[in-house]
Amino acid sequence: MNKIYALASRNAKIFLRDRAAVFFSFLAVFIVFVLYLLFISASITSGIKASITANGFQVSDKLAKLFSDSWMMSGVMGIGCITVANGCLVNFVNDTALDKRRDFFVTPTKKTSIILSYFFSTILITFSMNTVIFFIVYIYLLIIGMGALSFGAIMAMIGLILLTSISSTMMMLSIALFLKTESAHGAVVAIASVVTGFATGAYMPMKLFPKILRDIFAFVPATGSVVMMRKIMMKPALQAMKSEYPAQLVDILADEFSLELVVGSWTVPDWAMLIYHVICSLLFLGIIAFAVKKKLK
Amino acid sequence: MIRVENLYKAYGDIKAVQDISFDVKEGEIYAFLGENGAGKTTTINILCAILEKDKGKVLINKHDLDKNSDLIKRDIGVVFQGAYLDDRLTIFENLYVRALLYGMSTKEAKQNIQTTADIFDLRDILKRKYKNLSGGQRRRADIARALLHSPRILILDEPTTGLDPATRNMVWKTIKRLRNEKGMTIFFSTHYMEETENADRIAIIKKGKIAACDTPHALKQKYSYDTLNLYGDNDEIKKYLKEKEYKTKIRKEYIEVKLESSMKALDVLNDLREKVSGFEVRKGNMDTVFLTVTGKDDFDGEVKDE
Repeated sequence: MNKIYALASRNAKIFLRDRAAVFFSFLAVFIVFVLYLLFISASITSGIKASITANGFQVSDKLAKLFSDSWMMSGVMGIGCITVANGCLVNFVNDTALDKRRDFFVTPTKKTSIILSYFFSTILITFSMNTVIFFIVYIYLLIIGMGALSFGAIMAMIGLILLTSISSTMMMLSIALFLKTESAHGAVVAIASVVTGFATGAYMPMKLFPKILRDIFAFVPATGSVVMMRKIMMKPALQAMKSEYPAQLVDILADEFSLELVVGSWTVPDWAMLIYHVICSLLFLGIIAFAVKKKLK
Repeated sequence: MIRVENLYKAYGDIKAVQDISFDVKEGEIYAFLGENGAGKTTTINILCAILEKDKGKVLINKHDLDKNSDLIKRDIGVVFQGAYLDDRLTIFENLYVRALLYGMSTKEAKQNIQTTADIFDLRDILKRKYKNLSGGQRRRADIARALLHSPRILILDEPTTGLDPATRNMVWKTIKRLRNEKGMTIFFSTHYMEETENADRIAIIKKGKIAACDTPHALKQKYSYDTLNLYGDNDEIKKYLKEKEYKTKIRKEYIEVKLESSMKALDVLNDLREKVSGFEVRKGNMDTVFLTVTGKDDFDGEVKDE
């Protein structure tokens, strides 16, 4: 365990001292955030207003913005778990490209300990950074008028961040094991960030995609995470709406903003999303175990 | 201390190491000499248990590589050709991580780092990041890393490649000191002929096979030769050398003549006194040994260097 700790600490230090790597791991989150503030926020808020007005009600700017912001911020959280994990794994790919692990292989340290060190350092950093993002987002939403989340909801969010960090790390590590250069990894990061953004419905509600695409995106593990995070983060905004408007209208809004994950005609319950997450994580673990045995150098 | 029997390794159709056998005695400095691609690094990677062999047997400090590679890893310290410590970590952090990988406690690791830092004059720069070190400081840190766990054998893969003469000299002083003061067994590969003079024994590896193995003196006795370089009227000199059946290499500015002994140079110079404008006699060295053993000793009277 001491060996895994030593290597994980080494990996974390190398990543955190590389300011560019830390910055780029958050770049997708920053971009979504800036795009949201500059363009998307106004269009989503006006969409909410139009939807409510069409049903013969009026909505305040504050409530529409609260709904819009809490929807968007929970999407950002989902992307963060993927991109930060990817950023941390730059170190793994660099070690592959520069054959750095040779220096560990000449010590009496098992390959599994070496791979576990990358795994733990990536999870720890991804989880810590996204937990910080969560609290920043939460404080922001409180400032703009969102009701406080219960302790249970906060713990559930932290649990989801941990679960998503683990599955994202496993997924991205199982890909990184097959990459030999930093530029190949950069391309994967770029693709993963964009795909995750769309697949999780972070950029726009999944309802706007064709049905077939929605069904495919539902199988991206992070999509379930974002849906579950949204349910928690948007609860105060939905409660505020339910106190002013008929439940049917709020349900229409929830449907338009894809607050449930639907595959075919099945609305996927939270427990099923959690089980799917665990299955995917185990699958990626299998790929990692195979690749470590066959390919790790 | 190291025994290798019929070691074989191939990468697809390329036979990197072909049934080589050798043994290295305790406290010996053993050189593995060969051109790039001769199989030196492949052999070292197998000895360090980071590359699987196809066939053969390797015993290090009586431990069988197939059964006890972890014990072997505790017995050997490895200095690679390139830099493998982390640029963004300090020397201390780099050494600390590696020390823990050898199973040391944190206290033991810190003590060993201080001791090793004293030996290699690194104490004042322990907190400096590896990327900010000079070439010499880096190499000292690399060697310190290899010796952290007090190994009995030090394996060095082309340890001086790309280093300036002062740093190369420092590396060799360190290696000799380790052998003389600690009785450490040293196994190193190189393609610098002059470095092999530091070894007790030299194995010359050619295309994955050991072509010769002995002490530097014995190798020179067997394979080396002296040469006489003659400057001046080439045609007259060439005609004379051909008549006397000397083996020559025609260089751009001089003619290189292979001699049975350096005393033979006197005969040639006496005969060519009026025709040469200058000369130099060169004693045989490891360069000539290597050229002879590897079959590149091409004294065929053809023009070279052009």
